[in-house]
Parts: sequence; structure tokens; C-alpha cells
Amino acid sequence: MITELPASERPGSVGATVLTVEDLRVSYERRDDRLVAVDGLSFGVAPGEVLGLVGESGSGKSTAAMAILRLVRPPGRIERGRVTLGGVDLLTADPAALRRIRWREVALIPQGSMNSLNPVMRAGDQIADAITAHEGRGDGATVRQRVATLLDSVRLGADVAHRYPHELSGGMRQRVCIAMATALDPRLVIADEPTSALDVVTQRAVAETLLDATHRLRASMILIGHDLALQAQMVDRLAVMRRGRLVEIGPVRAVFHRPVHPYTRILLTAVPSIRDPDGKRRKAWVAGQGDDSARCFLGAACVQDRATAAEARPLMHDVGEGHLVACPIGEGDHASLWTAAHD
Amino acid sequence: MTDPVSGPTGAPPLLELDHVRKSFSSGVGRRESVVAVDDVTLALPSERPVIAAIAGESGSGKSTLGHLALGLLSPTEGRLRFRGQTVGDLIRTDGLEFRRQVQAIFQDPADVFNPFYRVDHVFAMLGRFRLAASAGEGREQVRSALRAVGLDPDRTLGRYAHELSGGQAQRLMIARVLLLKPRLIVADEPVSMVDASMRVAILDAMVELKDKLGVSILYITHDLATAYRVSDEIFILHRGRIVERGSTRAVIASPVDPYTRQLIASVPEPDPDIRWGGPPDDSPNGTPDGPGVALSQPAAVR
Repeated sequence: MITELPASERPGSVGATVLTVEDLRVSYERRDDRLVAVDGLSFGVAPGEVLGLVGESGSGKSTAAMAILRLVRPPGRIERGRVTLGGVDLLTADPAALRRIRWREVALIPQGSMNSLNPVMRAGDQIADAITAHEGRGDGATVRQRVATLLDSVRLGADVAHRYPHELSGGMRQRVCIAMATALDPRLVIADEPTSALDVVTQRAVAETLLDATHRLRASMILIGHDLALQAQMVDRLAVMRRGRLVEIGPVRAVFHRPVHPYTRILLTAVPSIRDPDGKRRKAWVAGQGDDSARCFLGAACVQDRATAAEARPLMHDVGEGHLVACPIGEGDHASLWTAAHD
Repeated sequence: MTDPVSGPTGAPPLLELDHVRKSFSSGVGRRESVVAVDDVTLALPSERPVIAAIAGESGSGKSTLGHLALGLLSPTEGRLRFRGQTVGDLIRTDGLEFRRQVQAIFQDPADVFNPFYRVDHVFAMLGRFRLAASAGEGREQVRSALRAVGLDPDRTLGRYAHELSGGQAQRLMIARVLLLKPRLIVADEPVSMVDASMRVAILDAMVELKDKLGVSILYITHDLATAYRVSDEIFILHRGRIVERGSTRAVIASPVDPYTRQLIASVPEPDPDIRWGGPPDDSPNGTPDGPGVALSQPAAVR
């Protein structure tokens, strides 16, 4: 195994993770072609932690989320890896065990979920369905009471239970999805772009509701997104993906204020801000890093040479505080990273 | 209204909306009326190029406003003038020239391309507008415009739209606009579908169009942060009405209107140390999203 992780991050050696992903690889097969969408992805999620998984389109972030839940459909295929939740490897668990784990242990808020509610079913019945499908049919009054409590927990009135999706705004429908995802007290919520279709005022309100709901359950969350500003507001730790690989992961402040990987720095300087119009603050964050790619910017700390880097997964360097950075050797120099990002 | 409608020379504004209202009928028997743009008055000066942002959320009427400015819709009430002439009259008498002088850049560049033609087809208008003396000169103009937006002509021409990334397609549309040398560009969410690293390049290209070619831009967006980056003036649109206007820096720094204040407080800052400002929205059921006015984009810009 090439990936060199410090003890705190080494999958399997950590007691305090809810979820551990090790060396996950997912590819899409086409007739005479194979696209590796996720390549050697490893990370852990601590209890109660919100981990942001960011990347541009095609970075593999959504595929990774689906693979964690073993929801990758052909032509996609999970080639290898381990996804451990509560001591069970989800990638090899038998279907019955997997069914039990999904929703109860780990819940998904899929991309565009607010538009995938059943249009001919009242919101309350859909939440009740999520409960009874996994717990069996309980006492009707108890289920109704739980639905009311869940709606309240996402700041929706009890009357919403009787309404159909088309009678709800986008923000309200997304709150219903959050209520469904948290209905069975999961330990982990995976939310894929949960606010991306919402207006900025609604986005903030729904994002805060989502954080409240998961904090109350003491659940962990993987928040998948492309909006770095939103991630800055919501996550404890940030993982940056590019072309299927993790390029940088660390505490959110470390990644934002001391980004190391050239690609992370490109992304951060590209985010517009209404409080830092000329980007002075972010330019300061990224300044002072060398662009010489003939050797790794970490210098003597890196033992990897260019020839092996192109073949293998890059080494992850620990730059402190659990802040890990992929060796950029083999990814080209800073200028070609810019070009690649722009093509 | 106290708009700077004309310069010291008394030249008419480049674009002027004078109490413009646009309503759409809907519902059973089309008896219900939805007001998308309500009594909007604004002007862009003609003496100097500006980037004016029309910022609003979905259903605010901002796209309808853009379609009005392009002459794709006519106002229900009020007047819309381009360089002093009513847009409707201009289109009837000199439509081709108006269509050259006022160009559109839309959210999804893929909508603009005909999937059965090579992307070169978007430059066919050079002949129509008689912008090149010869076919050879036209080809060279196209190549230099592509290079100006950072596209390699040899790797771009001859391809089909689906072979381009969103960012490449949007840059191709900007190259097309460069060739037409318009006076005004209506850019409706031009960067909302491109990745962050590409977004900056497109925004910078817009500022360059203004600074180097003197083109004014009506930048329609939901994204205050990008509006802040490129625009000189801003108009905040809420439910069809302009609720606040002024220099972009002044409006963002010290908003007066309650809706504008809420909007600005909701914009996430890309810094974990600067948390969402202002009180959170605690109203039961969240914020109503407002009546959405759905309008399809024109299928192609010819």
C-alpha cells in the first residue's frame, strides 16, 4: 500500500471514527474504455463531525458518496476498497444487513432530493413510510406523533404533514427530506448538494436546519458540495477531490487559511467574496508557496519521484494537525494545473 | 425617478427602462395575471461603459427583465429605449442592427448550440452582419477571437457542442460576442453552471469586454459575490420591483432595504472565521420562495 497515512488518519487503526473509507476505487466501464471516477480514496469521519467533500464537476465526489452506500449502478462498478461503519464492511455485507444499515445507521439526502418526493403522497405519509418501512408498522398515533416531532425539528409546522409536495416551496420540500433522513436516528448522514437549488436566503435557513438536526442526533455528516463558501460555514473538516483523488484533507481552518496543494489554492482564489472583493485575504493565504514541480513542494520530506508518481497514487503528506496533502508530483506544474482546471 | 438618464452632452442613455411593467396571464381561461416586472425604471449611461448587475432570487423577475432588454418580450406597460429609440420600433425598422448591438449570453451555453452543427456555425453570422470583407479575413477574425478568450482555434473549430466543456462553450460564446462588437451585452447567469476555477476567467473576460472594447453589460445574477466582483452599479430586484439601487460597493457595504439586508446576510463567506452575519431566519416553514415565473430561454441566438 503506497498511501502513507499518519496514525491518526490511518484507516483501521483509529478507535474514534464512525465511518472509515479505505482505498475506495470506482470505475465506469464503457465499450472499450474505462473511466476511474474514484481512485484510492481513504478517509475517516469522527463522531459528530461534519466532513465536507468538495470538488468540481467530474471530481468523483458524488460517485464516492454513492459507493459508500453501495448504490453505484452499472456501468459503474466498485473495484475495491473497504467502507466500515459500526464494524461492518458495507461493500461486502449481505443484502439484508445492508438494508438494515441504510437509513438506520446511515441516511442519504441525494442530490435533487426535494424534487424526488412522491408527488401524490402527503409529506407526513412519506415520512411515516420511511419509519414503518424500516421499523415495521407501529401504533398509528405514535408514528403520527413522531412525524410531528420530526417536522418541528426541521422548523416546519405540523400542518405540513397534510400537504402534497407541490404545495410546498423548494426550501420546505428540502426540510421534509431532512426530516426523512433523520427519522431513524442515523449515526451518519450523507448529504449531496442539499441546498444547491435553493435561493441564498432559503439556502442559509435550510443549511442551519440541517446542522441543527444532525447536531441534535449527535450524528456525523458528510456534506458533498462545490460551493467552498458554503462549506466554510458548515463543516469541521474539509476534503478536496480532483479527478477521483483526494488532494487535500484537514481541519477547515487549516485548509482555508493554509492551503498547501496547488489545486486547493486555485479553488480558493477563485471564490468571490462580498467581504474581500479583491481577494486580498485569500491571496495572502496562498502566497509564499513554491511552484517548482520538478520536485515535490515539500522538498526533502517527500521520497516520491516523478516516475512512480505518474503510475501510483500520490503519497499523502502530513503537514500537521491532521492536515494531509497529496504529493503534486506527476500532476504537472502550477501553470498546467491552471490550464487543466480551465479546460 | 432620479436616474442619471443622460450625460452632459444630453446624449440619450444606452438603455433606458421607463416605468416598465410586464405581466403574464395564466390559469384557467388565462384570467389570472402574474406580474413579473413591476414599475421598473433604470438607465445605463451611453458616455461610458458600465457593468450593471440586476441581482435577485428566483421569481424576482430578473430574467424577464433581461428578455425585455433583448427585445425578446415587449413590456405590458411603460417604455424601453435603446439609445433613445423605443426597442419595439427599432426591431421593426432596423432589427438586424439592434440584434448586433445588443447581444445575449445565457446561463447554459449548450442551449445556444445546435447539436447537429459544428460549433463553427455560431460564427456564421459574420457574413450576415457583413463584419468581414472576405471569407479568409472572417476566418482569421474568428481564430484571433478564440485565442483572445483562451481557446485554441485548432482544438475548438470543427468540434460539436457536446465535445466542449461548459466553460469552453461559454468562452466560445464570448468570442462570438467579441466579433460582433455590440454596445450592450445582456448576460443572464453566465457563470452559474461553470466550475469555480473557470468562473473567474469568464468574469474577468466580462470586465475586459467593458474596459477594452467599451461594451456595457447588464449582468443578471442571483449571486451577490460575483456581482460584487464585476459590477459598477447594482439593482436589487425583489418580486418584480427594484428595492435598492446604487454603486455596488455602497449597496453591499451598507444596505438600507430590509430585503437587501437579509440577502446580504445570507451570502456565505468563504472563510470559516467569518460566520453568516445577521439573525437567522426563524420564521415557521422557512422563507417562502415567492411566486416563480418560469420562462423558457430562447432556443438559439441567431
